[in-house]
Amino acid sequence: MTARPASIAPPVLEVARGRWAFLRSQRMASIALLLPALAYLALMTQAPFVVTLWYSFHNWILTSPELGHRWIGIDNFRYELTEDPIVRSAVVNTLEITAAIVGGALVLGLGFALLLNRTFPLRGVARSLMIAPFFVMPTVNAVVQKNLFLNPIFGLLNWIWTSLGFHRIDWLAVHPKFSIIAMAVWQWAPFMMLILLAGLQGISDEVREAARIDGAGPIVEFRRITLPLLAPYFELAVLLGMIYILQLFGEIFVATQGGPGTETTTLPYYVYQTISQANDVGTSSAQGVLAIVFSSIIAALLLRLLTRTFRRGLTA
Amino acid sequence: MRLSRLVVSLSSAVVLGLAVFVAVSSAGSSTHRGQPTLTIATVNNGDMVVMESLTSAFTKRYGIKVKYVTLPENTLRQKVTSDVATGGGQFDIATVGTYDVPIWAKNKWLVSLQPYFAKLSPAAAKAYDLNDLISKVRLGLSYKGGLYAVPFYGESSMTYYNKKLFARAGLKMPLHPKWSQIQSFAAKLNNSSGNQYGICLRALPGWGEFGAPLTTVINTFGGEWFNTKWEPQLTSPATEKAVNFYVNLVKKYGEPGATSSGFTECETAMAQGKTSMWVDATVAAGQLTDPSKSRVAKDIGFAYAPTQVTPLGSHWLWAWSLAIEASSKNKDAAFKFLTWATSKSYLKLVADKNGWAAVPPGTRVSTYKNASYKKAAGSFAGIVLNSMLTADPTHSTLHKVPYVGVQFVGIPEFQNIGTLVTQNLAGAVAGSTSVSSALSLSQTQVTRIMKQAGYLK
Amino acid sequence: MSAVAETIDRRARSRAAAPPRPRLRPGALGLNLLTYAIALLVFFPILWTVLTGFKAEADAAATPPVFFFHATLDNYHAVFSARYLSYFENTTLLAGGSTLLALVLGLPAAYSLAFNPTRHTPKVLSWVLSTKMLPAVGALIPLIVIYKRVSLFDSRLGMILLYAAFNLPLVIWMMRSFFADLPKEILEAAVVDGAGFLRIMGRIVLPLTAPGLAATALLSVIFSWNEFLLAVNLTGANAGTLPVFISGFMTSEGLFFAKMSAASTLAVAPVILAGWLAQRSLVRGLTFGAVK
Repeated sequence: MTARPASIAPPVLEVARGRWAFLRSQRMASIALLLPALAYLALMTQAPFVVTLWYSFHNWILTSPELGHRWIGIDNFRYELTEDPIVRSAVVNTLEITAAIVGGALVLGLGFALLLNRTFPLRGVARSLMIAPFFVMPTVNAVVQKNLFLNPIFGLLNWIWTSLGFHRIDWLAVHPKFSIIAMAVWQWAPFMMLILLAGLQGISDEVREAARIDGAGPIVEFRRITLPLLAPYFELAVLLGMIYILQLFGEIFVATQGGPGTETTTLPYYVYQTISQANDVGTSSAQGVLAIVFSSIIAALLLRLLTRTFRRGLTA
Repeated sequence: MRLSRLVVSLSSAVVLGLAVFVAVSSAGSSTHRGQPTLTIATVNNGDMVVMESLTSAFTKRYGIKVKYVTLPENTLRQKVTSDVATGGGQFDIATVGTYDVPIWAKNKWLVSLQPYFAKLSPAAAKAYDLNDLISKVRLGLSYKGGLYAVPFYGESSMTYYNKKLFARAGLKMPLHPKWSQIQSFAAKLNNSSGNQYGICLRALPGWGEFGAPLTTVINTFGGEWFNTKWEPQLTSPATEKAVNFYVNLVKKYGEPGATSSGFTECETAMAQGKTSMWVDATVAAGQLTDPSKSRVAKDIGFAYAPTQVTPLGSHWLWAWSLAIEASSKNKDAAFKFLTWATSKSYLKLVADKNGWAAVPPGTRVSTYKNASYKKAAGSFAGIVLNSMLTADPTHSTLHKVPYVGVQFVGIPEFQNIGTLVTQNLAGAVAGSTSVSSALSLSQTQVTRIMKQAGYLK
Repeated sequence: MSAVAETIDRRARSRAAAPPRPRLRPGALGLNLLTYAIALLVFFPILWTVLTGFKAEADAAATPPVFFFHATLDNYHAVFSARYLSYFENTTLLAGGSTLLALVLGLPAAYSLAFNPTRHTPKVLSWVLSTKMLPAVGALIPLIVIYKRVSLFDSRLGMILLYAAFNLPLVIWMMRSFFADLPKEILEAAVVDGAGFLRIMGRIVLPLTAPGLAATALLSVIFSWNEFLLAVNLTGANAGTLPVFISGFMTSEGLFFAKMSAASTLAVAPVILAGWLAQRSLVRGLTFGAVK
């Protein structure tokens, strides 16, 4: 295995020694390539963020316009961080549910990717079928699964379950978190599979041949070659997946509405409740800002954990 | 592989080109050759779907086009609220309920319809016949004496039961049952091992879902949400008794999956013959007796909503209505649509197309006097009309209360309060907490909200 | 270009010359059957949804479940009468347009970050990711207010711009990772040959990372296609997308499973078709693999 600095600047330097102008223009060019994306992103995302931050310092109830648009400083934040009983359990729920979904989807996605990384008849069909769950709108998936599968009276699952002689289970009331996690893992496993499959297909035959010649069996090949080479793709999948799954909303909205009680109330769902039921712009904006802080902490922790093995490209 | 790449790049080019073209040609304007185009926000209930399909008749007569935005109720309310609170401009007509109208009228988000009615010619006024609208419904849609919305369809609540299952068990449902009777029926009819249940009642968290039937039970047991000083009464003896009754009824003899059961789930259970009784909105009557939607269409029996200590507030009052947004630029055209969609001729139009049983119920007294309607919907029409005539939003509790509304409390904070409390109580239904602890938690939370909103000191 | 062409050519020839791997290993059949079984199991809920679209409402929620039923096209008729086509048109434009914009902006950025990393690169990448951390629910009112102010409310252009901003971090992160995986010899050879950015991208980098590009584009299309919350709040009668359309069939006062299933089937079918087309470039043959 060769070392792999991803930068091509050193060879250029060798070739163009002394031609600093060329090097500087190379740097210029690379900044010019990067800038449009960053500028666009900054404009489109920071503007809403700034306005959200602005609202978080005010008290604005949509359905009570007579109370106006009052400045209350950090009072919303103070309430959320010290008094609100729900936000604490919302944070815990978010952590639990997100971790479970990311973990479950990753494991399943890896399994699917490994199965699909071979040549066999009808491979394209199998791949289409396995990716399909990700194509359906999350809210629709949740409605179908809630009513046609998980419903204790006329759901498919309970029909099969009771036909086998077991007791009827009210999934969404007795195992709400598990139901949400299961629905979301089903939806997100294809996402993980897509990324891991793209990574698997980057592992060349030559490496495998070499391993086989060295006498490695499939399990050793998996542990010593596949997993390490897939590591950056794992990290990519986990990081990206986590960012999306932290904001999981559709399933909870349709299937459990944060309940029973507040068992499946996650931070995004709680923010939605605040804006759509309490019609409270100030508090929901503050909660949104807190959600950013929360996500950033998680992402930073994750990056630190992963960067230890993430050698490529992040170092100059 | 070459082909698929070619296809992908070609289609991308086409899509990009179209995107640019379309983006440049921008969003539609609200006038079209001099005639305005109305935008209406509505829910997807059966009667609205029919209204949408008949809109071409309106356009043909007045030359005004109508664009529909259809959404589920909660999403619609959130979207329209966000819209009007940020300056409006999106909709001319909004579909609102009896809960929303007084609050939105107070916030000046809706226009009063009185001046528009006053401007009608005598012939037009006579044809429309404002006094034909059911009085309690008119009351529910008024604010400070002025009408702010016209009812598109109205409903109350009543008891549905499966005549076949009742006969098989040798039971007879009285026309005016009491909740205690309902409970004993449910106990006898409950057969959970056979996947058939005594009763289906909503327990899906939500002020408009679980909250509606729950409030009627609280009312009829003699309880209330707030006393005259706006102090929450969730832990008062009468209220606690009512809530305990409801929760235990659902837990013992009710449907499994109750905390996921709203109107739709219970209706499905009833229509599939999985439950013997169901107390809910009167609009279900037409659907339950429709063979394409219900497997027990011939076996459905009807009775009034159950009472207990007092008949006050035992059955609710709700009307989906059409109102004109204050920010609309086409108010006159909007008023034409409002009066067209709620006129007697519109009802006749629906009857000609889909039969009298499909006519929007609960708006006009004349509908219930119509011989053809009585024939088509006779089995339940009488109950529906009487229920609506006796559901008074200003007198729905045993003790005096400072709020209006039968199955809700007509304050803007109730969306939040009702949902919070029903969420806690859903935990009790699911068995993860007790009713009394759910109620005391709710009492604390509601007291805080009322203090913050300025009702309590 | 010649050095690069030589390298690629050499690889292709070496692949062609390699002895064919024996296909029928023991256990391969079992593995195939397992794969088919899993694929069907995973696909089953969607299949059920498609079937439900052809049932009458009374059959849709029947228990025991109805496997043989009287098929009806009423639901599809209702879906088309509800102006499915205009929502479909909107969604296609939005998903396609936003993905293309995200690619146009993101591919150069990924190139820069992968091939010219500096000590700022980790910070840039973190910042890019952080733009996705504000939950859309928290920014609903701000977005509504801003969009109304700049007259982008309820417009397709506005939604394209917004979705592109949402998908840009995905494009940058994923493509950067795939780019960084490429062997540096090929790139060095190209630079020596005097190739500029466009040439390198078009002739070398993109063909070699085609699977990654296909995966990224597909994910971006799907996210835009299925996005609900912002679509519902920022569009009205003109720019409504399919998720908004489908949700319009849900009602709190009626039976709707069959109709909703029909609408959902029609919404998902084009994406599955697009995914199937994109997949064929996920096939191994297009990539020459990376030398490790």
